[in-house]
Amino acid sequence: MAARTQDEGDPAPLTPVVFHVLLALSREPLHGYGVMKAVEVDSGLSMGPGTVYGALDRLTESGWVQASDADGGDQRRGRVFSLTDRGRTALTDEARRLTRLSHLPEVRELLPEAGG
Amino acid sequence: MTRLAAALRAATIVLYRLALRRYPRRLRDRWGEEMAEAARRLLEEETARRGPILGTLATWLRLLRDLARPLPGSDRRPALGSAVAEDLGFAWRSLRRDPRFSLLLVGVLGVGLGLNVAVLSVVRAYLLRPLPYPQADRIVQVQPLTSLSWREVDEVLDAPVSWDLDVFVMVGDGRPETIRGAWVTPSFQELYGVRPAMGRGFVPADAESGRPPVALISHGLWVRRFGASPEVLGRSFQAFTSDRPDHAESFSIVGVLPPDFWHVNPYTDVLAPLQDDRPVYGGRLRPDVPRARAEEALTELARARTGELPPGGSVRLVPLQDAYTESVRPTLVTLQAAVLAVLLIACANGAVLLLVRASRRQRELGVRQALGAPRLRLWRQLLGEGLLLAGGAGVVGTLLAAVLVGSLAGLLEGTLLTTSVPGGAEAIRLDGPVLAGCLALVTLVGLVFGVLPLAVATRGALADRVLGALRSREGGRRQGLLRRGMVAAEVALSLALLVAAGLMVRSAAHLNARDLGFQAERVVGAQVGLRQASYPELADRANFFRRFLDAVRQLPGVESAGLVGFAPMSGRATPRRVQAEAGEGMGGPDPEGGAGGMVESAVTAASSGYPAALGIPLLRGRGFAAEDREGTEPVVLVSEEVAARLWPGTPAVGRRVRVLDPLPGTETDTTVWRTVVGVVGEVAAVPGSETTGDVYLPLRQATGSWMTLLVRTRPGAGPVVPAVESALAALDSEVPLSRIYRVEERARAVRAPTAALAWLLGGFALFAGLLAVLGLYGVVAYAARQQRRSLAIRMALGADGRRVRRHFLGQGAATVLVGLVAGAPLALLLGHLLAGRLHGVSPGDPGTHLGMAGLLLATALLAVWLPARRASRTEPMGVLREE
Repeated sequence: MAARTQDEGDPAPLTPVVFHVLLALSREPLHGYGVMKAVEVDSGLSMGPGTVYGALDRLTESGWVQASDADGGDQRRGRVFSLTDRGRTALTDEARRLTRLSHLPEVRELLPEAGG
Repeated sequence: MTRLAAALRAATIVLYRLALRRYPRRLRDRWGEEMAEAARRLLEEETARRGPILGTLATWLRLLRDLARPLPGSDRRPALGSAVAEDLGFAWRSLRRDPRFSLLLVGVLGVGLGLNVAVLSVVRAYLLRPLPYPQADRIVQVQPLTSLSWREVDEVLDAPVSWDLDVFVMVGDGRPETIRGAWVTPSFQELYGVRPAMGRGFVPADAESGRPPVALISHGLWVRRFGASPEVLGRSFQAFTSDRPDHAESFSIVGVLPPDFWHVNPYTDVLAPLQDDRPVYGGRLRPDVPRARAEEALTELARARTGELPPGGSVRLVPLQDAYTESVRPTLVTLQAAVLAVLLIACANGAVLLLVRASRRQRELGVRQALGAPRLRLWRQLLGEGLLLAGGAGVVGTLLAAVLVGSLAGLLEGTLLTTSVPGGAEAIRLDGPVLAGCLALVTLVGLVFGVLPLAVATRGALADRVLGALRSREGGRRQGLLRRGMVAAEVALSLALLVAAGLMVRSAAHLNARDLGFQAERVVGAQVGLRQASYPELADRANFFRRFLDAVRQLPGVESAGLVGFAPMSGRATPRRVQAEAGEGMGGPDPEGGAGGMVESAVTAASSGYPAALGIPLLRGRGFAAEDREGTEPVVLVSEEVAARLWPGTPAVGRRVRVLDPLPGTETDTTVWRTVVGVVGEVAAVPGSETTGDVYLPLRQATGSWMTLLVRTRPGAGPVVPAVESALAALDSEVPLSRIYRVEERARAVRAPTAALAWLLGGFALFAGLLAVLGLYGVVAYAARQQRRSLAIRMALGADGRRVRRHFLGQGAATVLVGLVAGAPLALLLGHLLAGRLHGVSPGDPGTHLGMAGLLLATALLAVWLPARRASRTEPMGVLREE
């Protein structure tokens, strides 16, 4: 994934897991568990800790997400993740790509209720 | 239920942490803690939604799916290395082809492992984990007690302790309350590592004589009596104690003990500094003094005093943990042996099933080898199957153990062992070492399971195996022997378990059937203790008790009431020598010369109406009456057994006896000659114990300060205790009613450990027996299948079905008999381990041993009969045409 993200000229599609993790963090910074629940609510994808932290680990490596120590009482839940500017750009790009995709005539034919 | 949830949660987190090893190390190091935390929260949420058991299952489904998934962005399945992963994948598919077989194995092994881990957790809490004290392994107890003061032994013992258990009667605010406490030496804190949660501990000045007493109070008392007030420090309370009974003393509270403070005896609600000298109870061995030398030194000190030790006797220093767990050790060892036997049987069973399966797979493996699969690869795959099966069993076993520990730990502690767990109720838990032990077992089982079929399945010439021609007699026979040996071992272990269970069931039945000698229904008991100083004379106490009893009898709802010094179901009374007068006993008193027969019996004071209140029948003569008081003729009631032993065949009423060992605390001579005025029924002091006979002295001629009140209420009457308390308070507001209990419940509680052990062992034995029989069935059914062809030929040549059946039955019976013979000594051994827990049946009871062996044999023959009958009904031509 790191290879894909650096090639910003031609943003490749994000995996659904990564997309939903970024989407969840775009609203507010969250703990890992919070990300897990948010993705579940958004998409019905039920992920486990391995998938969530695997994704978050790679996203922090590539600088799309940053982790900071929880402030105040809730140390036990661990660090809080938030979107960096680069992460937000990548998410926006992906959203644009998906929107473009949804405007393709073929797709609109598939989805008559989208107002074709 | 919350305890169950907590246990399941602990097990889940520990297992998940182990499973995290599947991920690359870097990920684990960075996020492992948080991942485990996320898993924990997931579990909490699911538990809240679906309850502990379903919630745990749902969580595990999700976690397992997650663990099986590749990490986002990685292309390959990680962690285990591709070849190993592939082998495991192959093993998985191979096991899935026969799901019933695999599930059966995983289930059987899982139950075996789960039971072992659960029992091991209990064993560990009692016997293996050090007591919760600093350098607990060096803490010793002095046995026997000597008069050596704790101040005299500091050459060999650090922190030598002594204490004086006492009942503190708290008076002042509200109702008087009896509280269990102790006067302790200053070293008590050091030895047991007491750190008050609030305030300070004792300082040397506290123990100087003449100082106003200070006290440390327990967390429980602080919450109960002082409303958990943070301002409790410096406050004082008033209490009577047995050492200073003349007036209530004021104790100033200097500290509160932590909630988890635990001491080997439960007298810890109040600790006060001991100001006078006492014999040393124990201490910590000095690091430079070996135990043997310390014992020698103390023995020498004790010998220097006359009468201290019996000739040749010596002082021993027993590790505190050994002394504390002495009574529970046999039960725990028995339980552990029982579950270990279950596990061994489960393993043997698994091995038999796998052996059978491996023989069937010779051909498959041969073909793969012929097609070029390296031998090593086959071995790895078979090992993989073994490990997968064992791993599945490990998960099942750990979860089962978590459920068992969560739900049964309290029951075991309270009902079966009746000795509090060192370190408090939370000390029985699934913890790291126990789980590590479990995993070691799992791995061992896995390896055995992998290796056994290997040895079988890859034997013989390749071509023979491929062609399915490996029917060579000698190879088959050796395998057959191995299988039958395993089944015989299962039978042996099952027999031992069945006999142990049978002995316990008979003990429980004996206890239940045994007449207690009294009617326990609707009887409430409670202790009443008078202060010696306020009631110094026998007449004072007798008067008080008489007035109290009169008041209680007037209360609504009371059918009858009585007082007794030592009530049934409160343990064994000290036996005292009771001597009958010689001759016909009709002559004048002859205190010196006229000694007749002698018995040892329980001797206690009782009020008039006591036998009636407890429903003890008056068989002959009369009960105590108002005129049996100080100054009138000394009288006595004896039980049937005492009467029968002292005056066999002749009437007891009118004879005279005397109690040679005095009753303490009565301030009167209890050893005078007394006339028997009545004979009452026998009472079991402890259910199932051998009765020793009872001798009752009239309360008004022999009462001490402590009596037990027994009140029988009318059917349907409400609670009577508050009214009794008020009646007592009206007589003396500083005398508390303590240790209130229902006699019926206590009688049940005293029987409970036996019943619990009978249930546990019965369950294990049933499971074990079923497995053994299942194993036997499997082996015979397999043999019958394998010999189908030869049987068919023989039957085609004229052998009839009966001979075929006899052949298999004979083989099966031989296997079972070998097992029974091997199991007999094991059964005896287990029976003797249990000896202390048996009632009314001896460890070697022939009926139980033979009966169980017969039962096992009969069941086993039935298990052989079924496949044998099937084999005998083979249609020979059909079979021969098949091949």
